[in-house]
Amino acid sequence: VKSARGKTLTSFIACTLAAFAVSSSANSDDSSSKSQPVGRGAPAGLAKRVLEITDAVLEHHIDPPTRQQMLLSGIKALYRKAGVRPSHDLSRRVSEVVTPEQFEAFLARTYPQSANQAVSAEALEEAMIEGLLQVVPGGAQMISAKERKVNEQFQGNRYVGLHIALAMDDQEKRPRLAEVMEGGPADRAGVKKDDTIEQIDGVDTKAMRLRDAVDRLRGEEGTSVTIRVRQPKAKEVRTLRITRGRLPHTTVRGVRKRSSGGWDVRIEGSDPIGYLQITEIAASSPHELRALARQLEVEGARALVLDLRGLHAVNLHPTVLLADSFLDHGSIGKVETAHGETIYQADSDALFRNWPVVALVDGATSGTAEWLAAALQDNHRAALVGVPTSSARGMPGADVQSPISVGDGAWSIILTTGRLQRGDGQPLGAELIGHEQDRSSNSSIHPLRAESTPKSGSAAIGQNRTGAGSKYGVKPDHTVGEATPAGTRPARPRGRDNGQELVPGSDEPLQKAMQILRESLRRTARADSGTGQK
Amino acid sequence: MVRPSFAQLVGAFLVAGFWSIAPAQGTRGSEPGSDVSQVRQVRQPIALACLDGGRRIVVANGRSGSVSIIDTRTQRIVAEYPVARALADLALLPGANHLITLDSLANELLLLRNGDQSIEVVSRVKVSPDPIRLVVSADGESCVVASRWSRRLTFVTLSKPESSGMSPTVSMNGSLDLPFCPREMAMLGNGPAIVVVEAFGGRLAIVDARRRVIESVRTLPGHNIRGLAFDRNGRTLVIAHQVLSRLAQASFDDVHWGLLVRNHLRVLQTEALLRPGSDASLLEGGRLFDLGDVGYAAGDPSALTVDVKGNLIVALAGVDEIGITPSPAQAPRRTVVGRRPTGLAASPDGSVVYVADALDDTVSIVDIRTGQRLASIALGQRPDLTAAERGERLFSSAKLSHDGWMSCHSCHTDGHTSNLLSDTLGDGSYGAPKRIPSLLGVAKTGPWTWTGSMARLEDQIRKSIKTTMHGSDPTQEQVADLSAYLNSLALPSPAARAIGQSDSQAVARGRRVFEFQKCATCHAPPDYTSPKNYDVGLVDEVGNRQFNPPSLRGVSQRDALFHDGRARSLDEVFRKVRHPRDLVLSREEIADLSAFLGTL
Repeated sequence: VKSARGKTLTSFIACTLAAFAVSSSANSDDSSSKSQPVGRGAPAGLAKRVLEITDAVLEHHIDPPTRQQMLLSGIKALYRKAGVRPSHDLSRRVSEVVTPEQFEAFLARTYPQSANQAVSAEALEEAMIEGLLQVVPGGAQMISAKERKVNEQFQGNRYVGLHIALAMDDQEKRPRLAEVMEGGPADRAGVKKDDTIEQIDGVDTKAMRLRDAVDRLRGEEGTSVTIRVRQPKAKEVRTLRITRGRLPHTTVRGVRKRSSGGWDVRIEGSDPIGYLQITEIAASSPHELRALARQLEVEGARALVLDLRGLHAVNLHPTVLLADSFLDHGSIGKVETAHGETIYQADSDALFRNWPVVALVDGATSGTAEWLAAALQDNHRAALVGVPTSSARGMPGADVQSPISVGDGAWSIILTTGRLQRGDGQPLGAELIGHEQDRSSNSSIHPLRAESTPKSGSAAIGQNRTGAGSKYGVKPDHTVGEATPAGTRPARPRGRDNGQELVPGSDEPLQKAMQILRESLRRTARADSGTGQK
Repeated sequence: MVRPSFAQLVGAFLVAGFWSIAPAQGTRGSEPGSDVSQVRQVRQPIALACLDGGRRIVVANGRSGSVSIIDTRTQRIVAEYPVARALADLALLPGANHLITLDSLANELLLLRNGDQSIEVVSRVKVSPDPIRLVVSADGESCVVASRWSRRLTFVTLSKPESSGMSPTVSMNGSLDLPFCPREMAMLGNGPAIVVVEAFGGRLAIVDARRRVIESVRTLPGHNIRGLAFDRNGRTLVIAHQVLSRLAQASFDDVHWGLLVRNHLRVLQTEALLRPGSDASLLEGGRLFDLGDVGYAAGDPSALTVDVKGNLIVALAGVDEIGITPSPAQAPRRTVVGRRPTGLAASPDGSVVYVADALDDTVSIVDIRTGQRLASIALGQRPDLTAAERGERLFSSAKLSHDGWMSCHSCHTDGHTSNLLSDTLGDGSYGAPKRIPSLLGVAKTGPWTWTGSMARLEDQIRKSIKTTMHGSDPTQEQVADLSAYLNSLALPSPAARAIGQSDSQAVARGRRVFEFQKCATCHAPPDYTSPKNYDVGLVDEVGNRQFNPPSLRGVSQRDALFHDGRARSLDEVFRKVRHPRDLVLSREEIADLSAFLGTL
């Protein structure tokens, strides 16, 4: 699930929860006693549900397969699940289906009638839908309205719950606390990592499906749940009452956490250079950026390293707002959708006005994060340092994914709905056509300055972004280290995954960025003194 | 009783001659000097000033047109004098013997004498229609009046009296047309530079008051500019305003995280302000500070003042608070005051600030050092509020929104429009930001929304509160009150804009063009709209082609036209957009049609 492929712990929870839905779907035949056995014809409404899904794909996917491709793949999966061999002319027969009525009749005729009687109708339907989604480029996933609400809460950084991650303890056959978010409701109530949950609101969890446990633990803000937990091999059982609540997590952070709360944002005391790392692009990110920008101003920073390494994001809207925070006018980028294309133009005003900025990127900078990097580069807002980004390495990612409601809205389907392009329409991964000025001007970084400022006041530093190999996604202006082989995703910078400290000394790209910024500040100071500016 | 001096009479005559308007008629309503503090009425205090070294406070009551006097020692009302039909703004002349205020209905500037026992009107002179703000030079010898709907500055000379016991002579000294509706102004010392900002959008002009010319007009990234104050040494100008993002959506997330509407103090360098240049150059060396935060927003920042110690005091009108801070970089300490604080006056010794709580008819006294509200002084008895008056309170309350980020007024500034685009669910989806419509005269322009999807105004009110402001579900009474308030909003005066510019022949020709081109098919008189939707060759970002025609009543006072604001003037509507459907008109026809539409 790309939409839940964030790197932070909370995203991991989202990912885990989303994964539950998939795994439990796959295993739902283990608890099928109440379901309708096969052999009684297609379940009522199945044809309609299937067609609604294909309608959604056809209407919203940026590059949809044909309806027949989806139906054929779905029916094959249905037969596989039922243990029935499809007829040799299935493909031809599917291709002849044109109208909804024809499909309903076709499904009624071809619905598997024999073989594995133990497979429930529900499991067959899930298999069929999974099958038809298999041929959707970029993948697709069905989520319930409830799951969608949770996803939206995560994306809005306002998830309401206990703020834990669950896993199934295979030995105990009970849910186990894989993670407990620091400061969250569960943490405050005394829940510990690796606790096994024995009861939820008085209900024994033995052999309870993880999905059901998650369902019982979730609820509205302010409501409570009582759980009975035990540490592994401990005898003591603790009963804890937890009130569900929000715990906004950090998506933009500084150099190191302060014991008093907040972040240190200057890399080294002697340099007026700030450091911010974006670890996730969520609705709160522009707000967090603003707050840290103010802190940097107050603490005397005049240049910025923006760390986008390891950042994968698929949510377009918060990325647009984040890019807008950096840009004073200019084109953020273009998005091609099934309904046309949209060019996003930045509003006036920007954070870090007049500051030179270097953005660190790597092969894992992907999706809308890569688009953000391209916007900073194309608007001369930041020089990029690091290794080339994801998209042209054969990695998917320069796409936007969105949930699309299906039918009456009880379900949604997460689809690739947009393709990200640079503001001038070039694909992120294309050769840098249209950017020749950078190749010759030797000025890959331009602090955002007012128009009236003499040109001598702007910095012109570093190398240009030409060089060998033009198949890169967003190509850095300054390549540092070896490019990761195509098809692989480089590891994130060491020591930064779990809130650990940045280690500037051992971070070669960061050192390069600081060198560039120091030089830029020096040049600006010289230029300003030359023009009598303060 | 007012007994104007010979000099004043001469001054008034000269003024009347200048404007070709009959001389001022003298004080209306109750006898000047009579105390009406016991009269039951809605007052709406909008401005105040300290008299006699802070021993008394004079309060200008916008709605009742009276001035109230407060004894600061006893914290009681000692008198109230009716001086006008309605008041806008108040300024003290050096020496504190005289005050200037504006009668916003009679379109007059009033010179008041601060007598021992009473406040007396000593002269009245006509100014351009809809006067809303005045600024007085440090030496008290000149004054500039900003008139909103007539988009004009009026320059006034205040001649020194021959003897100390006499009043200055007021005389008009010309006027200057502006490209926008002005509101707030600030003058540094004796000028000649005056900062004039737009009432609705973000335009800011520097005007040379001596030469009466516009030096520059630039646009700030922001709107609803309600506070202007130079710091004590005049090096920076602090501005209180809001920002509405065109890229944000009116979703819960964007409202919650302060991405849709934000409230700010902006600091501009005076040097950058006075140096002509681009919009960006205006921001050179400037800084932007947030007012409020997530969970604790500060909707609708309003009046600003700087006390003798340099403390900055800002009224947070939407959340009924004021904020006090020694520096804009420091989050203000916030104090709850009365409803809609819109006027501030710090005491001469810097100990307290007096706050005009416009919609509570009270004056709050707040200790500047501690932030404690020391007192709330009722200005007099008040009748039960009408539905429209209750609606006005709701309209200007950010408490109607999630966490207090915005009120209705934040976008529909003064019931009009900020002329900005906002991406709400008004058209059924996100992705196609729409121009915020003016609500002046809105009662007659149904169905509502750009796509005409709302048959009842009440439903649209409820929807805006729930899906744009993300406030609690309003009660039926609240919706009815808001509807009553919207129904009470009158159209802006088109005549005001057209002072001296209206060409009756051009208007008549323009009317014929309107008729010949069958414009009334969609824009049918008398309200120049119609209930159906039409495809006139416009399409928005999400594919909508059918739009409900906006009323053309008051159209000349809108500075952005069409659903996406693609035209910035009536001329652009026909010349650039060629509305409707690539209609080609001659230059003369466009001028005539614009002249006709300008009268609606």
